[in-house]
Amino acid sequence: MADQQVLELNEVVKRFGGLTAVDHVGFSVRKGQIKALIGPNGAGKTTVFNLVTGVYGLDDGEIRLAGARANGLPSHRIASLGVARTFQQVELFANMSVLENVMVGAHRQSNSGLVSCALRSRRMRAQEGRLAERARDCLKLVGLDVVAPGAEARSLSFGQQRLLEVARALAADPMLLLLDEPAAGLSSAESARLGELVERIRELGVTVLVVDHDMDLVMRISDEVVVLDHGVKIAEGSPRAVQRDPKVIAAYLGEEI
Amino acid sequence: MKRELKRYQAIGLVAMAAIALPRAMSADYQLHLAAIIGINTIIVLGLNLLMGYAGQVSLGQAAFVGIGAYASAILTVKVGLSPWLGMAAAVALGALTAAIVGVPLLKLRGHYLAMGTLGFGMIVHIVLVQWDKLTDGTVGIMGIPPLSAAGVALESAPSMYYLVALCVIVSTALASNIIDSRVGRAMRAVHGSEVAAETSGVDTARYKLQVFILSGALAGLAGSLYAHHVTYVHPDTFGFAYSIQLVVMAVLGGMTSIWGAVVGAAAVTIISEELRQYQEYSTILFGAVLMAVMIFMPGGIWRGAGDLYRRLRRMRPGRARAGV
Repeated sequence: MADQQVLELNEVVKRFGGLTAVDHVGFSVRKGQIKALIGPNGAGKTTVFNLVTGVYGLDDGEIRLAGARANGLPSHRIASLGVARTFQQVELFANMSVLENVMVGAHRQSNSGLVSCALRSRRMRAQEGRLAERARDCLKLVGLDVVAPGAEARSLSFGQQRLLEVARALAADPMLLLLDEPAAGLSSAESARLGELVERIRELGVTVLVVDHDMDLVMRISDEVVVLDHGVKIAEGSPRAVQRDPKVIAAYLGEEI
Repeated sequence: MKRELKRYQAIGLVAMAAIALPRAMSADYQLHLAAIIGINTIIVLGLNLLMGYAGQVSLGQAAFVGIGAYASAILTVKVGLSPWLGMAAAVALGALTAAIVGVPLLKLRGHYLAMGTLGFGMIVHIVLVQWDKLTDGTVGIMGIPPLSAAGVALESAPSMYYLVALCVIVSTALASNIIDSRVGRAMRAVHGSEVAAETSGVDTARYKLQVFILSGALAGLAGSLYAHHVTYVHPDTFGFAYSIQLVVMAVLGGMTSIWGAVVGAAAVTIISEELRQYQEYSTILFGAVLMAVMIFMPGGIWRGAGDLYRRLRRMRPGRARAGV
């Protein structure tokens, strides 16, 4: 059980026209891990996220979630298998309130349909209450209990919007959380707090796969790191081992990591 | 329970106003106009859910109204069914048509969806004109019986007005319930970010189709009410011009506001009635009004008026302090 694979990628390929964005990439994420996916710009990190969450279909290879084949499934089905994510370019529902944004994250936690919503059946009202409660818990977890839950999502600061995305993803009660550059645009203090948050999320039993450019953050919180360059996996291992890997250093063109 | 009833406070107030309205109106003509406004409100309500909340454009909504009107007309005049059965069939047919055409149409996005729905509207119009065995073509269907309740025909202007008002109030209550619910949030999420909605577990195609079906059913209901109220249907009533007028109503009132539907429907219905003799110019006027609203009041009249009111209050500091 300790070695249970939450996510496995086998020889995954994705092409955009003549460009192979992801080239026979394979790695796996174990239950309870914080794993990081790093690499220079255009390495294919976000594409991997889009493949795992079904936003793109893959051209070859296989993706398994908790042992079951998941490629070819639409995004909402993958979400219901326990995968939640955030976006590099914040993708909030700007026209909705902070609380409602998180409640959409918990969409799969209830099942009221059109008719019972129109008639506000007793069951639907009970579910709505539970959903709102769950959403408030998630807002509190990410530290957004300071903002008014009724405020419009677009009125939040950039850093708060990123946290709101995390809260929305957590509301789904995921087994695997994909964080796409959660620290981008954050101050170093905010980024340190984010690191603590990710560790707290792991303690809740959520496995985390994170893409980020903040090497400080990545090296501090992750158990294992996968390095991509031009769509190819060039290294995988502990943060220390990866940092010393000559191929990784070359990929970053001597940039210190 | 008390909190639940509170949701319907505003609707209750409007209902009371609607009940009192006929006393303020002398002529049957005004009541007839009020009924038409109500019928348009029902359609615009569906259009608001579809366009304002779920973000899916329809330039062919008049087609669903036509389908509802002709379902009622054909079933009562040619088949001899009771008007209430005709009305039920009109709602069902509006919903069914939306379900069938919605599956392929809603795969389109943005301008392509607008074009697709526009095409659908034109096809329905052509069918209404050409299938003359069933629709009597450009002659139209006359002598549609009025609805009746407890053996009394709802022929007089006030009785039909009350029935329409009841339909408006019930559909407004249901629509505002939906908006503030799991399904409504899913629909609004589709509008906000389709990819984020999907990865949050929302089956976006399903909710788009649901709201399309709902708007089709509401338009079907409105069409049936129209047929039994006016007792005559003609294909040209449900053409492209009417689809555009409905969109103008939605935009003018404010697409993300339930009350905006009433305001928009009333404004456009009254303006086009007043300008009946200058019909060829009314399109120009609606175009200008649409542009002005988009530029100066993108949230529509209902919201725009609210913003203006708040701004005026703020300009008078004494008042503002008293308000807090």
